[in-house]
Amino acid sequence: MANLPLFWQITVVVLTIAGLIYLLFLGIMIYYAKEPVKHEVMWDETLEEGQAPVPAWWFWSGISAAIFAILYMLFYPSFGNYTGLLSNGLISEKYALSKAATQDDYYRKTEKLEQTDIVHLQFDAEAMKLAKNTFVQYCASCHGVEAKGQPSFPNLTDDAWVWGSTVDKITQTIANGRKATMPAWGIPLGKDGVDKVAKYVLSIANNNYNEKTHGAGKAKYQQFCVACHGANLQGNPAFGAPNLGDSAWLYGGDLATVKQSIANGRNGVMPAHKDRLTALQIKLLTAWLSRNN
Amino acid sequence: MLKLHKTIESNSALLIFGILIVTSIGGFVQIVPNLFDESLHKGTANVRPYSALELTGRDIYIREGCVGCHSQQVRPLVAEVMRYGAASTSGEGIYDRPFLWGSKRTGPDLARLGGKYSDKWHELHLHNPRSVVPQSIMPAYPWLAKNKVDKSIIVAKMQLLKKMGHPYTDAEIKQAKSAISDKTELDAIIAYLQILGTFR
Repeated sequence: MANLPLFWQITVVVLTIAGLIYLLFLGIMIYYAKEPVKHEVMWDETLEEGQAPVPAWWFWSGISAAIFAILYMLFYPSFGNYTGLLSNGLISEKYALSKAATQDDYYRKTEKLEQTDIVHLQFDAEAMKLAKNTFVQYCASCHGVEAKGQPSFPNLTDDAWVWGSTVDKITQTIANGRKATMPAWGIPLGKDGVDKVAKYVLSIANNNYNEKTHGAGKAKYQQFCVACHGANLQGNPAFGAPNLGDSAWLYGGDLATVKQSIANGRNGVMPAHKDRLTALQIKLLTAWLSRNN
Repeated sequence: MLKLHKTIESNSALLIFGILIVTSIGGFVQIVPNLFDESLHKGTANVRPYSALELTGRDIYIREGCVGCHSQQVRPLVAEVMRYGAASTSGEGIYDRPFLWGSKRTGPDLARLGGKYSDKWHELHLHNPRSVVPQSIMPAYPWLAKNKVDKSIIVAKMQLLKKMGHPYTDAEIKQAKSAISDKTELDAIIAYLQILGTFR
């Protein structure tokens, strides 16, 4: 473990050995000092005070500590750059071995899963349980334990897939992450414009569109929003532009929240997980998430 | 020998002095040689000093006592690596002054936190942890979003670290104040949390 220059190796070795020898020497000296107990002071006629030999248990614990130290230095790295007979659970090669053993075990158990295609995984109760566990561990802090999402984090159990619902798209979303940028339209639209567009969008979503009240908002929408969200508000998975005509709302579907989204924009980020999850874990998650599609 | 022993034992000042000498030899052997172990001081390929904003965030992390409940060291044990990510190395912490390894995990280890969640998640989570993790017992830190960062000492801080060997350029130090002006404490601590573990 250690990688010390020679001088410091020698310092460590010399001081360690000197300390041990001193400990042994001191213990033995005290134990075998056969001086009789001298009662130097007497209190209250019978209370005596003086030197007495150390108790045997104390002496032997001292000696055992020294022996333990010697054995420890023999087996573990603590003596200059000497790595010890056992090498050590902390050094990287040993770690790599134990990791390989664990992974070997893990993958032997999951080899079958790795060869099963996604459609069949979805009917494998064991695999779906594993997938759910993986989801709870890695995804639930944003998307919730039941994958139902929460404001700012999409619900993964409905039919609205902002970035696409195919197996490929879901795999990409998990592995590489996503960045959705909704620009702020507060200045170009103006306060009144934001209000009109928000009301128009909600009228389509809530199915109560009325040409007279919502016509002006529709015109603004067709001018500013259509490029990403589409002429029929259907959205575009290529930019992660959500469908605005359905009942799924990422940030909330009340008028105030929609106005806020339009005026200030939104920056949605799904972090990339390809370095945190194995390919099998991503496959299991994809199978679990797409099982209802 | 016994006589010497008796002299030491019956004189408390001498005894204290003796104990100090013996324990300092132990400390010396354990600590000082490592200061000369080059392999412990070599940085990893990606390590860099903290930017002005990250450094400010780091100081807020220290001020709020995050280190009391969150460690920042993944030990090289298989179970731990499977849960948190690659084991920590000394090379990625060469610009950590003071280090924030911690020794208590009331909450999870944060050594590999960077990039795990979005900025928005951190914003909601620091404002009220229960809003994103219902079973969380972490305290809320709502004032972070309200307070602007204290930019009066950032230049002095970076100059001091430069003296201690952090390779800040003069331009970086000069721009430090403007780099963090208008930032809230929340922005700073999120910037810091998002780079945790990315130096390996």
